[in-house]
Amino acid sequence: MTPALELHDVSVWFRDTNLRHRSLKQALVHLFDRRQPAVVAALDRVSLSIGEGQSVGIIGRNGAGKSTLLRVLGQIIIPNRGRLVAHRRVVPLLSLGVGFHPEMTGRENCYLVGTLLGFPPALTTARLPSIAEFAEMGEFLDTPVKNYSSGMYARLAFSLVTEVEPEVLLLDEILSVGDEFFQRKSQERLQQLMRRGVTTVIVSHNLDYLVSQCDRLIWLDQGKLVADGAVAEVARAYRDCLGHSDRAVAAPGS
Amino acid sequence: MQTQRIFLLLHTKDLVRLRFRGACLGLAWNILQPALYLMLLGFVFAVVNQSNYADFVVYLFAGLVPWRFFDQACSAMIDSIASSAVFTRGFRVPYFYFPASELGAQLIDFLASFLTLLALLLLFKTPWHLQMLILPLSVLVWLLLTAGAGLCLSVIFVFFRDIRPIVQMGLMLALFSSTVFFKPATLSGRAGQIWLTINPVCYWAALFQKPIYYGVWPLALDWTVSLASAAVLILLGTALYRSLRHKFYFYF
Repeated sequence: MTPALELHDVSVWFRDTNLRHRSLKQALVHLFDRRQPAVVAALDRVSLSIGEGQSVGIIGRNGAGKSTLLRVLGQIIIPNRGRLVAHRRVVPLLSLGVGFHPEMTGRENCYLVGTLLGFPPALTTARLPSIAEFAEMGEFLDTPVKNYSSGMYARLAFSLVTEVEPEVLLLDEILSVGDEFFQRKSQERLQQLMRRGVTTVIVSHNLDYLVSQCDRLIWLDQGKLVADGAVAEVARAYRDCLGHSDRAVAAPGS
Repeated sequence: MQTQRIFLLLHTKDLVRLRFRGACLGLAWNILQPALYLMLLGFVFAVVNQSNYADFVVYLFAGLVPWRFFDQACSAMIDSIASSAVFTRGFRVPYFYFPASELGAQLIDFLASFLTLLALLLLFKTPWHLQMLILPLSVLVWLLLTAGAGLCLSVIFVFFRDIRPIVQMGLMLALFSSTVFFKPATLSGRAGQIWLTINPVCYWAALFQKPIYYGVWPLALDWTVSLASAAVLILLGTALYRSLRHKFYFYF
């Protein structure tokens, strides 16, 4: 299978001081602190290849490195070690509130973000009616995004990224937002894209959803790749592990 | 990559438009604000200094117009990477686009101020010198200086969010201790002359003041010091950016 994305021995780490030091004053005070800051490994030597047309689900507990992996695939996080090779145009839809400038209108944001997704303004102009129609924006397309509800925001973001002809689509829990009608509508569109051969990588805590939509599962834990393979196998192993650890956690208190 | 460059242009345009969106005069404020600021400042300084109004205003503005660009652009660029999270946490976009967009938006302000200066030269019937033809090159050097300083500051600010007041203080000190604000003759004595010799801002200011106010060509030393300052700032900014950009994401 022709690869769409390849990760070679990728590691991402950061010092936990990153999360505390935000000022020169704190840094100067910290000069006299002899404790070594802990290094947090968000991804630890991960290598994988995602083939064209595959739909891949990423599972793991909170802090496992799922979102970091997705951001490395989207070339948003630059790995400390290893490299990513992207053979296809990657379009990420990672979280609500990211990507749209709050002071600008929906229309202006479509043009601006469209360029980041590889869509020149002329093409955005041509696609804008269908983007607005799918997102059910009505007259709100010319309203600053800061006045949108979270549902409107999600509809516009999803509509835009699926309209710009992605070759690889990265989704991070984004399908769980919006009302039920929108969730159904967006899932239908996502399935259409998958049928057209668009490679999709989805991060979700909803294992049943991933099992129904994906043909491959990747399981991460503490930044390491635990399992990578057929959906049924990996899902069973993951469920077994969760059940086991749940019992282990429950034991002391019971 | 091609469309990402279009993003740079669109974002710059949006920054200019957003600045005065909703204001009664809209985009006209981009011209009016620097013009009114300079006219008011020139009047106040001339009264305080009790000098010939027209003469002092022309001298002051010849240095203040590029300095204001440097000051304003540095202030706008300083938090540009740190506040770019709305885009950079969601999409692949080079971080340096954000200080570059702010620089572009401030360039509009600079050109408006420059036009105000030219209008004042007409108003005060100040002679136009042949040497003023060199001004586009002077603008280019100031642009490089500002790009370098702004890039350095925008990278440092990601890690140290409290540097803004320090930078503002530094900029103010640089303004009031250089020939942007006072004429060289004001500083008499050996210490004053040494200060004028070692202060690079005086050489930067000379690129505008000499053609506009004195009607002479800037010296080779003025160009050398200014270009060397710009090169140092750009190299330092680029080195900081390249070595630290992989950490930016974790500091948003």
